[in-house]
Amino acid sequence: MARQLQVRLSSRSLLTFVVWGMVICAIAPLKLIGWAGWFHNPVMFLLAPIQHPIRSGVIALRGDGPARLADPLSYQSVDQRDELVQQLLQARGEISDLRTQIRELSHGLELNPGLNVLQLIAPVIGTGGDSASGVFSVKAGKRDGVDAGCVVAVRGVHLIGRVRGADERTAAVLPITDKAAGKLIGVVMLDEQQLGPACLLEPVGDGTLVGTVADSGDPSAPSAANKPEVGLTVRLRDPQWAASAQMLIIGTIERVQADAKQPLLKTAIVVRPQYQADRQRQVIVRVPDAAVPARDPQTGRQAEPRP
Amino acid sequence: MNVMVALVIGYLLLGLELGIREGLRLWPTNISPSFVLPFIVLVALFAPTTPALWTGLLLGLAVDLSTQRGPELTVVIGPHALGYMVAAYFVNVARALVFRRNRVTLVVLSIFAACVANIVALALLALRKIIYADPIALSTGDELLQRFASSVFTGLTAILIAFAIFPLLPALGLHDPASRRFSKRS
Repeated sequence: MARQLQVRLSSRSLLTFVVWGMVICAIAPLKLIGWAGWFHNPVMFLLAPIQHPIRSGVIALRGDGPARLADPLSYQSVDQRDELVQQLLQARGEISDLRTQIRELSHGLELNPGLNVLQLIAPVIGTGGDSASGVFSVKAGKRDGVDAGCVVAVRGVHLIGRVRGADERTAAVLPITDKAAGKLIGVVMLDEQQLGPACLLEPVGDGTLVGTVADSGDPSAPSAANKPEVGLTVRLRDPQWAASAQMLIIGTIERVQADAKQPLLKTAIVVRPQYQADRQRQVIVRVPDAAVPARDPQTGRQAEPRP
Repeated sequence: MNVMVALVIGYLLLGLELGIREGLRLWPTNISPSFVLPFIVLVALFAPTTPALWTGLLLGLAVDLSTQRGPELTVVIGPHALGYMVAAYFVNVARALVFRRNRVTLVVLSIFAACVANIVALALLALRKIIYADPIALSTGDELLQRFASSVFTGLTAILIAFAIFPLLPALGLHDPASRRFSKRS
């Protein structure tokens, strides 16, 4: 009887101690609770054997995005076309940047020799316990060359997010639609190849990005034709993102409205990504690959592998 | 109470919740049900106070540890652990007023317990926003509404949990004292 009472008392006092510890952890500054991150991977390692198969089953039942075309070959062609358009626009952007560099730099020697990107297909493991956080894990890590800053896309050209941290086997991805992801600069495409006005987009937390539209990216275009319209595609053109992410598709314009701060002067757009990050069975991680032989920008031939 | 069985069931339910939640989420909101909370409610209905609080605390801790927040992928220990523990305490206190063996009790109490847990978790995260202007903090108003809706949704999963786990009560070492009061001693 006395021993039982003693066990109960010690259990209660331990509980009180743990509760106070958690209260302190819950309101402590971020730099003091960084150690808690060490426990994330073991917990996810234990949960993954249940979470991953169930998630895959659910996505297989429900589908992972817009309806597929009946003919798989047509579907493949659409993917290839999207990818080629993105490469073309990326190349044009690079040419434009290089011309600017040549103009601005008196030496004109340090030019980007080419862009090598390894596209890695990574299965999505899932999100964490709190649905308010959009961070999700993918099954690709440092051993595959994935590290913080790598760009994550789906269907080749649809931007999903950016890797914020990686361990040996997994990486944590912060979607562009998560409020914590911050602002990004996009460009409205007036048609498949013509650049329109730039826009500064900010995630609002409901799966969309809202932003003010700036002046046209193409000064030769007439001003009436530069107005953003519902249904137009918005692509990434943000110097803060990796070169491999430039001109990836952010989404399509869902709504055009007056800017909240300057309703008479500025236009705002609401952009919705075509594919939701948390509904994917697998994503493509674009890893800058130093080992892939670079293409000679003048001849287009593969250069010798780097030592 | 059989702690090992409770931990195994809690682990299975948490894995199930993480896997299935995106399928049940009311897109494009974050409204989604919890599978773990009805189990905590069930334990709190039948178990003594201290084990019930420990169950809530440990399962909430698992939720906290599985969640990375913000651009720095911060893991914040406490919001869900304390939230689930307070929810367990709420149920533990309220159980004197309800018919424990009725499955509707579990459904209704799950909704209220989820509200309590979400309020505590959100309050702690909002406190961080006030003190530090954290990048991990949430927009409290929208989030509170979504979490209330999630709590109602949790009531639906509680129906499934009620039918699946009520038969496991003896294995969990949980008994209704009211049903034993008039039974024969073996």
